Amino acid sequence: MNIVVLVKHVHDENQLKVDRATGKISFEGVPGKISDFDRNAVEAALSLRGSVGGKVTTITVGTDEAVKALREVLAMGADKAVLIKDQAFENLDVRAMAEIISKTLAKLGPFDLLLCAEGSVDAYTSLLAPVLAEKLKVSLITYAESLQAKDGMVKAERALERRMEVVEAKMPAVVSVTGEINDPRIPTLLQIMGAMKKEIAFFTIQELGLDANRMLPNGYAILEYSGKSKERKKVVFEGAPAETVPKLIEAMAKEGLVS
Amino acid sequence: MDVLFYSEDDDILAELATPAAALAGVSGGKSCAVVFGEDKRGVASEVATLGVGQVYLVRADGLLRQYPEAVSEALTELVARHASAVVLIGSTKNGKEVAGRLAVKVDAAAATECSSVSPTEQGILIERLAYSGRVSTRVSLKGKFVIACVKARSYHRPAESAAASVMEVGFSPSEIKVKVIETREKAASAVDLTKAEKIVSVGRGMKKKDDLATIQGLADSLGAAVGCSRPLSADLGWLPEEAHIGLTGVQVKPKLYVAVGISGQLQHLAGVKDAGTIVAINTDKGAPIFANADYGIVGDLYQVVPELTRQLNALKHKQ
Repeated sequence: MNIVVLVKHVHDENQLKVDRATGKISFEGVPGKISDFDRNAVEAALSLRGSVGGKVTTITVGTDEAVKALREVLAMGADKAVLIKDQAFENLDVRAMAEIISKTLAKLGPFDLLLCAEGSVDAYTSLLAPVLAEKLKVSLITYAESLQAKDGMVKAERALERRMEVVEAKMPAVVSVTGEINDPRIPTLLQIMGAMKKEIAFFTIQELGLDANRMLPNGYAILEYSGKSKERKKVVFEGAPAETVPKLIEAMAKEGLVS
Repeated sequence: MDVLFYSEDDDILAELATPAAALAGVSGGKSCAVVFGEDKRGVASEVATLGVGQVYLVRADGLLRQYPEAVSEALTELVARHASAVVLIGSTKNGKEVAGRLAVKVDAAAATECSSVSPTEQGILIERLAYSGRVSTRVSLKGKFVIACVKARSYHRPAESAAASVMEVGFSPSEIKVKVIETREKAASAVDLTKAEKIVSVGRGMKKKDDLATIQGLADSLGAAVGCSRPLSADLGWLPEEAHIGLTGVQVKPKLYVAVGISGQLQHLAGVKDAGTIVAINTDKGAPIFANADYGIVGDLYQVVPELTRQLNALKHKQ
């Protein structure tokens, strides 16, 4: 079975420099990381490969930095990695992103399953899976919390707000997974070193037959990032509970929260 | 510009009538509610009284509502009746899938998890969070059709007014690729956390499931509902998924939020951003929760919580 996993190298949100008062955010020098739930998608792909055999290819669209995410996926056990190099499209319209990915898939040959996370840490739109499936005209299962593939069919449990659904679809299929689907494996040092030797294929937008200029501007434009947030009072009481608890109750009473 | 709005969640549908009317009003367009399924005639006539211009009732088997494929196809047919349109969809999981599908079918820019939608000269302006709630963004959506998924409780449902007409439209979906073979309702949690005025929430600082009784005791003394951070529901299963507060769980807006034994990861804080007052109890003075709380006690929850509960109860009995 040919399994493709999409991953994204994103700024580590824990290390963004945010000025709470002015709201100014600096992405400069902020380290990147593989988006959190992408590891769950990779793990789902690897465990399917383990049970039914096949190949796992990982794709990302990003700058040279994104190679780090691919190395991590290779260390986890993926067979092949592809980077679509793109310096300019930090905030690409999801339709354009889907266009890039579908051209890449066309280059790689047919797939049975395309996996991704339910959302990426940066924007968390959760739109890529449905947009891709619709564009590729294949089955789509979103928010999968379990996943099986057999005899050309894929079966999954979808975790919705108020119910669980067991769904079934023909492959090829696009599946987005939740963070609850599995516990991603942690590569060993040996695997990490082994991944350094694995080859990563690079394509540019032009090599995919796309015109970078025609992909921008698009209908989705981020006008402003702001890190403004409610400034909290940050009053902290320390000491024995017999002393701190009355102080807390007094503070809560002043706010009208206890009567 | 006309506005079409849809949600499979009846409460969100009613809330969407508010931004729909505002967007339609500014551009001299019409606000149209979309109700899916013949079993929802009651909902259709109710939303007709919420200041809308028109209600489309899609005549189809109500069971088809669980198929985002079918819903997006019906919406595509309805959107095509309009020269241009803003489509508002409730930002539920299936709603977001519908939006992604529709974005391709009608070639529209789309945004999910919007907390506001407003018209500007540059297009439709939406606000949403990014980077685990650390950052808020303003995004402009442009095009003949644009789609915005709006989060629950971003707007209040409008006051009732004269009823608009309900137009029934026929619909038969083409082949459905994904089949639902089983549905299990999740055990309904006793309280809807998104509506709770006070919440006591517990995290990894709690050592075993039985200790939940202690947390429940504190919640009872405050008249609060009980929630948790992701590890307790997702990893340990001590509380149902509905109790999970955070980026991938529920986002809450209580007047009082008491975080017990929660370190305060961004993913959790994203769920309590809009809380009125945040109180934190944690052993680790350096835990990020204290920088994001109004009041905090540094201490062992096993000592602090019983003492707090006792004093709160004593206060009640005094009155």
